[in-house]
Amino acid sequence: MIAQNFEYVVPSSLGEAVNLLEKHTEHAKILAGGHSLIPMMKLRLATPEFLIDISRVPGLSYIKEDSGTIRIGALTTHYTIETSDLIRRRLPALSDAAGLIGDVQVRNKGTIGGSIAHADPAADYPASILAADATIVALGPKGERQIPASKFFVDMLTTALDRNEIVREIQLPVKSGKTGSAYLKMAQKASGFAICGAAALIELDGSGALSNVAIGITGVANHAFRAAKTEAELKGKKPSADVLKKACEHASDGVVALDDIHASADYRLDLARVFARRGLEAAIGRTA
Amino acid sequence: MKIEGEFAFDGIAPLPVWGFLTDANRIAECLPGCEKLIQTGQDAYQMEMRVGIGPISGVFRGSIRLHDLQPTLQYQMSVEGSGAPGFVKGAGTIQLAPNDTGTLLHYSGDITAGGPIAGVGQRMIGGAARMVIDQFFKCVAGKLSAT
Repeated sequence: MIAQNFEYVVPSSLGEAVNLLEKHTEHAKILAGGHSLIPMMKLRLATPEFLIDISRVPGLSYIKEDSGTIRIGALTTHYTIETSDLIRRRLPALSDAAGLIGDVQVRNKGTIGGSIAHADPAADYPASILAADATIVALGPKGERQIPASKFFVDMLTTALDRNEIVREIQLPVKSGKTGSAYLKMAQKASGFAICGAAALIELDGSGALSNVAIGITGVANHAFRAAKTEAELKGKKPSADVLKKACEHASDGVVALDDIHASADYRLDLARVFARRGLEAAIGRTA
Repeated sequence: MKIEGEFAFDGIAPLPVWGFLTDANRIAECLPGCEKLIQTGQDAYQMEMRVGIGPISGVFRGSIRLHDLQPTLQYQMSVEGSGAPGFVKGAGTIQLAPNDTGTLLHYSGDITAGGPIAGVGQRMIGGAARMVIDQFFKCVAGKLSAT
């Protein structure tokens, strides 16, 4: 199908984009890579009257690290993240996630800011972003605001962003020491979307016990979540196969799971338990 | 697609909950995006609802019918709606039971959808329905505990 008529505007700065968004709040959408919004517009599920294309705003595509924080500009593509040495070295769970998104075309055009603002329940990034305790920097009419990842993903296709706010940067704290991280997913064959994806970030102390454990799970529920009970059970323990298996049995406790023709709710809950364990094993295997 | 869930109305007895859920005017107060809800017969209503979940939005027009009412215990509900994003049909049972702190509502039903929404939105329909249902019951609980 062909999208409904819309007006197309190309602001030259993010501030100008915020002003335009403020003016047309009810009917405007921000366009970045366009790989989620455009398909929805073509099906007329989304019918914005104003499309504000920020893809040509300069200075929003970067990956850098300063004082223990990786900063990623909102317009950085999945491909750039997938192939960044810095990310591969410091937060491999995020490289894994970027490399598993859609196909080459999607990864070349799609952006991290666009993906998280869209908040598809089956998107790959949210698992790693939650597990890494990231901070999302949003620009609005009143200036910048920092939103912790734990508060960002509110519900299906719904984030903590106000209607007139735009994601500007994603900040991910990284640790030095004996750390490892990984993201694994079970994808729906045709679309590549995650039926279940799990990101695990761990840190081992001198004795080989887990001093930090974080597990983010996507694709299973309306929005990504942390496997808090499993994390609590593992903290301070040495990660033997038995210990991991037992703790991961609680990875999806209390979660209301999605249910569709590709996977039942019970199956998704079980996948969360299995992938939490595999993610942890992969993360531990990567500790330097 | 099957959908099932519970909602606890703390400090509210089954009778007022029942009264609210079977009164068109009150339903309209809480149904997210409800633009019109008019009674067309005994326990039958016509509605117009603007559904907006993220970038997906559209106006659905359709009907709601309540049947097999057993006051304060349970009733059946059929919903039908169509709009630009496609059509949605659903049927289910709503049960109320008193518990220690108020009323526990249990809902279960089946939803089918067709048109564009079924193609791209298939994997999201259940979750979207749950989101709307949750918003609705939260609003009902809010209005009832305020009175």
